[in-house]
Amino acid sequence: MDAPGVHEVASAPLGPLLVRKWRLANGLDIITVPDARARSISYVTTFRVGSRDENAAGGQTGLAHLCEHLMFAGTRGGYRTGEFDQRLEAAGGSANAMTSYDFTSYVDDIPPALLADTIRLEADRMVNLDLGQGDVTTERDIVVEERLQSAQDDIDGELEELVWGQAFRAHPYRWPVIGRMADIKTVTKESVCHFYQAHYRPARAVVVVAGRFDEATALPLLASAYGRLLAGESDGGAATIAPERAPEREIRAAIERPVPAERFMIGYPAPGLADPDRPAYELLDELLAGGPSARLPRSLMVDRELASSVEAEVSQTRDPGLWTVVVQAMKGVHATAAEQVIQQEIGRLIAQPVSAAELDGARNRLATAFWRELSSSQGRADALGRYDVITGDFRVLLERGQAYGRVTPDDVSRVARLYLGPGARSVVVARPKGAPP
Amino acid sequence: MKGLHLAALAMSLLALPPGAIGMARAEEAAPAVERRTGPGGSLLLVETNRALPIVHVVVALRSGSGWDPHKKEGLAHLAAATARRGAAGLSRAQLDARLDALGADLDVTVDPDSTRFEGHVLSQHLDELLAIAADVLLRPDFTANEVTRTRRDVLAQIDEGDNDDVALGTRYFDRNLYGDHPCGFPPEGARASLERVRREDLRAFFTQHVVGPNVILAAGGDVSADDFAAAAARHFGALPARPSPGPNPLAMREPQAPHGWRIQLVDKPDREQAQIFFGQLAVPATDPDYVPLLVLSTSFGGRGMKATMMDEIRTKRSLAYGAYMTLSERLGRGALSGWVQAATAKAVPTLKLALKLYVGLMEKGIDADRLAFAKNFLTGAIATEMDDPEHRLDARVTAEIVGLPPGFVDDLPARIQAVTSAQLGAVISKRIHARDLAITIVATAATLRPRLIEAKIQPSAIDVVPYQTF
Repeated sequence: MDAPGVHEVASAPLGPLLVRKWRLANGLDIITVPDARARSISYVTTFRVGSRDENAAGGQTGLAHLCEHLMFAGTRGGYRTGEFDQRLEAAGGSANAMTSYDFTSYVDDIPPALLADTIRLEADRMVNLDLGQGDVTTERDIVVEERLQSAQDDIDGELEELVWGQAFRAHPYRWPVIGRMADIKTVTKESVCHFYQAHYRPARAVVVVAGRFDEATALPLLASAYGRLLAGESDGGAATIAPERAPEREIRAAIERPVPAERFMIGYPAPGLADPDRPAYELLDELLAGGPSARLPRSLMVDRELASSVEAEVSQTRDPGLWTVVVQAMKGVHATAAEQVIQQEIGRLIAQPVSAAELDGARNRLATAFWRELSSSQGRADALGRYDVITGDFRVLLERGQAYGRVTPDDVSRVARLYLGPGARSVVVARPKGAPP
Repeated sequence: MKGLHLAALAMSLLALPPGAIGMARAEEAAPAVERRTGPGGSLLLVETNRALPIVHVVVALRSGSGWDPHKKEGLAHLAAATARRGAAGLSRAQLDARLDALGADLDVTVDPDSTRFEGHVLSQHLDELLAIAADVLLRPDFTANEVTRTRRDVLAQIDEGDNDDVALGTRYFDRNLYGDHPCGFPPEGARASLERVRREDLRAFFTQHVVGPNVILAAGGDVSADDFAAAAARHFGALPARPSPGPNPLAMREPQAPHGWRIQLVDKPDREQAQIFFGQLAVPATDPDYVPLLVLSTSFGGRGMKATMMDEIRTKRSLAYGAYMTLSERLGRGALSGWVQAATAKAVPTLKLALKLYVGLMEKGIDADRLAFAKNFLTGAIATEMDDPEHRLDARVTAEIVGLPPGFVDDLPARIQAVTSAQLGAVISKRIHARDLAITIVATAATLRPRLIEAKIQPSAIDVVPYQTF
């Protein structure tokens, strides 16, 4: 069913739905997931650009995120600042966006009748953004407020910045996605414009359309709107970044904050999203911290009563990232006692392969989480775009369930030994103000 | 100025009828919910959706923290949390292990109007999840040891909640607005009140409230109504058919509305920002003014970038990252609550602007264009939010609990579109009290209080409260 100027490059089933990937001559990828049961459409544009593309040495951290904010400004000859939101919201839609280390996503949730207009608006701002000094000043000040809220007055945001910052020595994952405050405050219009022009182009984007629409009607419109855009110069910027397995060794820091008891975050080395070790590593995360009976919550919260909460997450990064564990210790409990239990549980997982039943439970939990994430149009569009941009192929997401099925207990022990065994970790402890060290 | 690359496309689209692109050719989307009477006179709600092999399950009591006796706030939550940690002779660890083996979860949430056990499970394991949920609901053990441990964990979670300034502010704002009314306390209770709850209170809560007419058993996803009804009968057949306990008179008590601006400064050290909450009492969800107020709150502070608060505070003045107003959906009087955050140096101008805008809303209302905009935005936002069975099911359970008629969730877009300017004007004049508000600010008092005084606020009008007060 190829429309003029677009050809199909991949497809895969998602339950009763069909996910198809198309490509335009200028390199833009389009993924479609029509669903006649849906009530709305999620239209997600994910660019292969993130904080990894910033020049930290030049004091330009936070540019990718600021650029994301400024994508809602006007375009040359198209629409004025604020009009993008105005047009979507007046018709019952809404727009949002997010920036990560490796990608930037723009999410439009729209009623079906707004699809044609959304295609036109999104294609326009992909290459025609027209920034004024006022736009940059306004959004810069808003980002300052966002940073105060999400990092400086938020203990977990602060811990995360510190853990990642001290774990990586050279890789761009060492600076925060939102940027350093000093860099945000001194950003110039010229630097944002340069960043946009260098990175925003069809070949660095994937458009995902999921929900209630007719594929045969929508594809020619997508091809026509985006097909006119110039491909832009090829760039190898991202390829020059060498992956870094981090941290190399144990690194520690402590801060004093108004916390009720010691709270700490540990970052361990983790494989990237497309790494062959990834399915086994995700099962490892699930076994250790995935559910209430997983080993860390059980040991720390139930058996030894050292913590009131334990949460863990494997970063979804293109290059090797971190597996982070956040623990809230009970009053009077030292972080070191809880950390010791974590190390013991890791050691146990390395020494003794898990039982088949425990591994099956972890697989079931991941399967439930997988289907839950993909149960809405927005969840599908977001996940498919993210996987396609990070791994290069959305089918990595859809085949994850089968990949979990192939993981053996020995595989779990092997990745535990490989990534967690050496004891390399980045630890930051927040202590109550005035508490003894 | 460079021309728009897409001019030709724009012209071609004009030839298409509105909605032509978005129309799906296959079946029409009208997910229906089936209502049946279940075990003991309970209500069964089922929405079948075979798209994905997962089911969302809600087991709800039509009783929540609003039923907590005064000075024993947190009782309903502690009862539910303890039941989830020991039932039918199985310990917390054993229950957790059974759930984890299925890949399922079963979480406890309590609000003033309901107590819910909510879970997600692969459809092949639905029956086993329902068996566990039935044990928790019908056969809780309430062992002395588990009551002690759960109480201690809830207290630790209250402490942990103090890490989050927004959650902290919400807790204190509710107290500021509702006072000693049950809605003035978080569902988890407070440090002092939890200590007063006894094991016998937990048992009594379950005995009184776990009765058929007071229970909703709901499922959305890969299950038929017949199969769910059969499973409910199998597992929840022991639900007593005794009459529902009915609403607690205390929960129905009229809260004391603020007079003037009641300013509470929650003092937390080392804050660089101030979290500002302001609001007033609103109406029960069944009140005819509820939908117009929903439209009004969307226009003033809904999630869109073009809502008044977001536009004036963020977009035009860069004072804050976000500025919102919400209307709570309650059995009793809900709240219209505004929230905005700003750096300490900008906090006073931001507060003044937010209050000025709210007074402006009360005095001038909104024009026809803004009303039409808000109605369309809200209608679209609801369609997006209701895109998956889980959210639809949650909305339907909530509607049941707060006493809305069957079909309300599906009719809501039409009800929103039917709101008129005249109706809204009348609702504003009757319901918006912008000069009588509860105002709660989480900030470092040493830096913010002098700024408030400098802005001509009487020192005696600022109630400074340490952040770990309750």
